[in-house]
Amino acid sequence: MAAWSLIALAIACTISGVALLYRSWTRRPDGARAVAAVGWLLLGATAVPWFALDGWEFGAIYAITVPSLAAGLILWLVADRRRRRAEPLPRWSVAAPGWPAVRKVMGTFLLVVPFGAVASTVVTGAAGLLLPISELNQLVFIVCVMPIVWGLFAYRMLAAPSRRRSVLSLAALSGLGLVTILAL
Amino acid sequence: MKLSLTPDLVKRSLAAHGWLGLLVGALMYIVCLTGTLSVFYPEFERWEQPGAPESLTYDVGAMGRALNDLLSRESLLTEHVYLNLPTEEIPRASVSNEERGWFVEADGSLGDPVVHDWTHFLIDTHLYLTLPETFGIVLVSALGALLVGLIVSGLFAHPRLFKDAFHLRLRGGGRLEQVDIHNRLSVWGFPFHLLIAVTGAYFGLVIPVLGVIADATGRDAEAIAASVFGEEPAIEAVGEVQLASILGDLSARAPEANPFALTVHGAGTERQFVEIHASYPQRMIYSENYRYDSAGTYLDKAGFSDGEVGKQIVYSMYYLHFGHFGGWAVKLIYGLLGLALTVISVTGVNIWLAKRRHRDALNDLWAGIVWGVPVALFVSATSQVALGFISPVLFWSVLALCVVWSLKRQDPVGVRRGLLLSWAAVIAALLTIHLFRFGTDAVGPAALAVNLGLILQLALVAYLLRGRPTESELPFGADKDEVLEAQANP
Repeated sequence: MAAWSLIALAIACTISGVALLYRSWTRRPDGARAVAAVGWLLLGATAVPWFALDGWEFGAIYAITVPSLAAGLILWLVADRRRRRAEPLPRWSVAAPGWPAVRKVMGTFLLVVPFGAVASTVVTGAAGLLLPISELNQLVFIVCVMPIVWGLFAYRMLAAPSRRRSVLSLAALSGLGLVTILAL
Repeated sequence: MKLSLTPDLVKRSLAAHGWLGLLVGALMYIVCLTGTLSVFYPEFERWEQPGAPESLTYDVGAMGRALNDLLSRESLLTEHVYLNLPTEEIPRASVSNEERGWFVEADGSLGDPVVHDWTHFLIDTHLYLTLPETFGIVLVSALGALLVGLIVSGLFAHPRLFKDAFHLRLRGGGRLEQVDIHNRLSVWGFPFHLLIAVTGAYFGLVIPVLGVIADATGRDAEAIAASVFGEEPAIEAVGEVQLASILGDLSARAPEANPFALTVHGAGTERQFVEIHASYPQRMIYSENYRYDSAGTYLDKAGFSDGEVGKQIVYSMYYLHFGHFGGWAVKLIYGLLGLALTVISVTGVNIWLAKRRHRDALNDLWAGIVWGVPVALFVSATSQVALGFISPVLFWSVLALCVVWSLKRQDPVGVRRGLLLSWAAVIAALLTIHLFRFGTDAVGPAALAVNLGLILQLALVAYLLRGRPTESELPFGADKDEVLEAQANP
């Protein structure tokens, strides 16, 4: 199949898929779930012409990024542009933060950045080194997954009902990871 | 459709999202904006020197003469010497050492020096925030990891993820508008943003993380690097680089490989060998690297195209992050989605500011940063084109001036307008100076795309100035609905 026809097919599937999701989520037609499912199916099906066009490596990137643009276009077209008055907010003098506020910010920074970095490195390191794959693949796994784990730990620490308990559990997990790494 | 998220989880996720956002806000904005522009760095390089000789075809003999000419000049030798062959992205040949480079003329003589200082400054700002490289790249990569946290907390903070997916209220700058823009761009850009976060984090964290693991397990960090990039080969033949032999052998050995650059390692020493970087069609790897001695004897290849999966992943990070594959279409996709991430960074802070239900110096500070960064970036570009001068000090000084002015004026709406007009004035000056300095080359194939992009920026500024909010329609103010709701539910 010619390149242009594969592109046309992929774009048609993308636009149809996003349009069906739009119809399902905003118009709530009968069988909205089925309509949404077909929409997702079409978006998934775009991978086929993209893969055929440019191989699976490039094709996968097209398949996950082009729907974003199609949705952006639809959003732009259907946006509610009725201008409303916004209320002016009162102006205050900037208040110098007190020591408790500074301590809270510094504490959060230390938890999220240095502690999060160390904990995610140790935990991912231990998990990676335990994998039954070659040493090189273990290291690549650690380097690629560690940022994800760091981000998840940061979220976990900040969103936990008890920050103290969350930090302690991550510290314990890190300790376990460190012991594992040293034992290997 | 509604995700089953408890109100408590949503509330805590929102708080975590706010904390993370404030932690990275301004730096994330600068990194995203410069990253978006960096997608087009080959175009910027050509635009900086639109008169440089361009051709997609080249004479191998001429390239070899240029490379050996540089290698024969002892005063110019550094550990590595490079030859860049013409490609569709940059149809220019150049040779360089670790400090400077020269274009290669058709006859193989060295031409004008390569001067891409603004483009390099732009990339440095994205990679290091102009800080010392070892610290800056780790800091920027940490932003990538925290972006993962922002993405996850953002998803959990949004219980009406699907129901609101097409709900966009553009109502003149109120908080609801900011919330809608932030949420819609975040949700629809989610796969791309996660990709950018993980690949961005990789570049700066690979060395410290591997260092920690190597130390903790008693492994040799150099051996780890060698397992990826190959050990230094034992060399027998040293002398002039026989480029024709090397490229001839490569063509026979790997007909699908498309060589685009060459590195001479240990230039001028007895350790000298040659590494050819070749791209593969439909492959995400940056290159497969073939190594030869100077006489053209094949040594080995790195195995990025067909070696262990880990090797292939490592060498795919660059294209995945910068979008330099698939031509213009991919660049446009990366540019638009990168711009979306930039807008998300800004609207996130805008939402936090509006939530406080008052204004103070933080609003002024933020307005100065948001609208000052593009002004500072293009003042530095103008300085480079007009005077050949570029410095991080200039960029940060202009930005500091914008911020100080904003703090002094205490009027974010007026500051936004003033800095938008300044941005437009700088772009107009840049276009005029570029045209004046380079004449017809400024509208030739090497510079036209960027200059059209600059004109598009003027249109963007005009759009942003259109329907300027008045004092009663403050950007980031409270929407009327919210005020009524707050009054009804005090």
